[in-house]
Amino acid sequence: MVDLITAIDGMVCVWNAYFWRIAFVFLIGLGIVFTIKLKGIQITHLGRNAKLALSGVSEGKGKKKLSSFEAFCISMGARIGVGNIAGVATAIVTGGPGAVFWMWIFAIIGSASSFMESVLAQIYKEQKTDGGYHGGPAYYATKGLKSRKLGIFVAMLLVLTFGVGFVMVQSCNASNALCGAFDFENNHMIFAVIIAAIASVLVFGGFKLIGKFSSTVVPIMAVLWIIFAIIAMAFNVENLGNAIGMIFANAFDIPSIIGGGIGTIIITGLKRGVFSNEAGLGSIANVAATSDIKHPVKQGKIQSFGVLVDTLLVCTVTALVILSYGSFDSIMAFGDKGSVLVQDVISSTPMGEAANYIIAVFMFIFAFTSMIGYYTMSESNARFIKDSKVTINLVRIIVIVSALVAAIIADVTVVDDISDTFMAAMASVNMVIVALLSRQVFEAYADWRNQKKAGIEEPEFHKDILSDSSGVTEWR
Amino acid sequence: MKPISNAIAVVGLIAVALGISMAYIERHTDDVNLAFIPLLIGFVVIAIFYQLITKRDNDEYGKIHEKDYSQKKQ
Repeated sequence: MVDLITAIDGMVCVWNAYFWRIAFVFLIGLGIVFTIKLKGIQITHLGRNAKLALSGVSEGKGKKKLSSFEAFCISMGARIGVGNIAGVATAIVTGGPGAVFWMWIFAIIGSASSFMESVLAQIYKEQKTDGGYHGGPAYYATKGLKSRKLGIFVAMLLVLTFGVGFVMVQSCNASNALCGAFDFENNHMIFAVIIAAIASVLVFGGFKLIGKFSSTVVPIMAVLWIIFAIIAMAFNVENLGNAIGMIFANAFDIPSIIGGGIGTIIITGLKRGVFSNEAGLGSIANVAATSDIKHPVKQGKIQSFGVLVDTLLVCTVTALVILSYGSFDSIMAFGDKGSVLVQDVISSTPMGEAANYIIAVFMFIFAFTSMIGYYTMSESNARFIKDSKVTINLVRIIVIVSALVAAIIADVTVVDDISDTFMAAMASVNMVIVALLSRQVFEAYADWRNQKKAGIEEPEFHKDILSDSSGVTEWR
Repeated sequence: MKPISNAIAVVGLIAVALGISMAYIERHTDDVNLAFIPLLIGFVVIAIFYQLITKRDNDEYGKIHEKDYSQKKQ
């Protein structure tokens, strides 16, 4: 059995490498194009975007529809996961401190892609039998490009990637972190059952319940992590300047202890950044579509802000905690990566062993809210394929079983590689679809700008401003 | 399929091929920096890809129309 898993992993690693390099070309290339075309809206409108994201009023009439803030929190719940802790640590170990610099760069570029896909998701959203809005790459491929086959392909890819692969990765990481901190007999099985039980309550509770849960938990956990990290940094405050300096000093010069060249730094930074903020993957577009708002551009601005929060704030805080430990050689001397490295660094402060338990709890919560976000996306795409109770319950069972199995097995190597490969494929497909439909986004954005210029505080979208509104069903 | 649509498809496939070549170079040489060459060429190809899409849309629908809201107030 172990030999079979090793053989599968070896094969998947090859596909992973090729799929990811294709994704790099489209993700970065088109991200730069969109940034230029949007005149850097993700930065120039940062304050306005933040204000939009934090507004909590539901603009729509339906009880089952989500407010901008709730949709923002669900998407942040999906984004902020183990990648913000373990992923950053791994990036530093494999690409050097300079990898963090490239994570920042790609977050800024990817933020434009997130704007594009979120606006498209809103334009082509659809109301389903549960009363809520659903959308995303599958919907805008079908309705915008008039290709249901492409839409079904994307939907299935998304369900496989997030509903199975990513749920397993998050569940397994959460389980491992908890088992590492709380060691007792049969702990894997017990934590697996707990994770699956909580997931069951939430996925069967419906969309609105998920929104309420995430909108309460996500802001709290993100703020708590930042506070915790700042406290950890405070114990090494004398090294903070050096930590920041290391990021810039190594942006183009990889430490000799790692080897490789600038290519290693950049690729590591890109991969970890994309994995963390999910910009351009099409996943967050599924959540963006659920919001009940008056203009699609509003959700585009909110989601582009979310990408920056994820990487420029949460990931950066994690990076500074690690790098403020001391010299890079001393960090590498631990010989660990992932969440274990973070635990090594923070437990070396006066927090001691307590840090291991605290980080385990954070990992559990981060993983859990990500899982809920992934379930949200999976259900939306299952509804796209066939909007029936049978399909929905099937997806719910798949997600819960995936979480349970992964937590029991507790070995994510193959699962991580498989889901990573699907993710790269989806990123490439999604970015091409977004590029082909980009005119709709720029027409919507021009409309938003013109309404704002005319002094209209709350722009309203009407589909007649689009050159081709044939696939638009939820806007007048 | 219109010629410009064919051109878009071809350029897209070139971009895919450049991604594949990047992975091939990384896996078969130890020089990660060398793998950046196809990536940088890929960016140029993507720019051409996008320009072709824009041209096709402008040919079909004209330039993006800017609606004047200055007479309207909410």
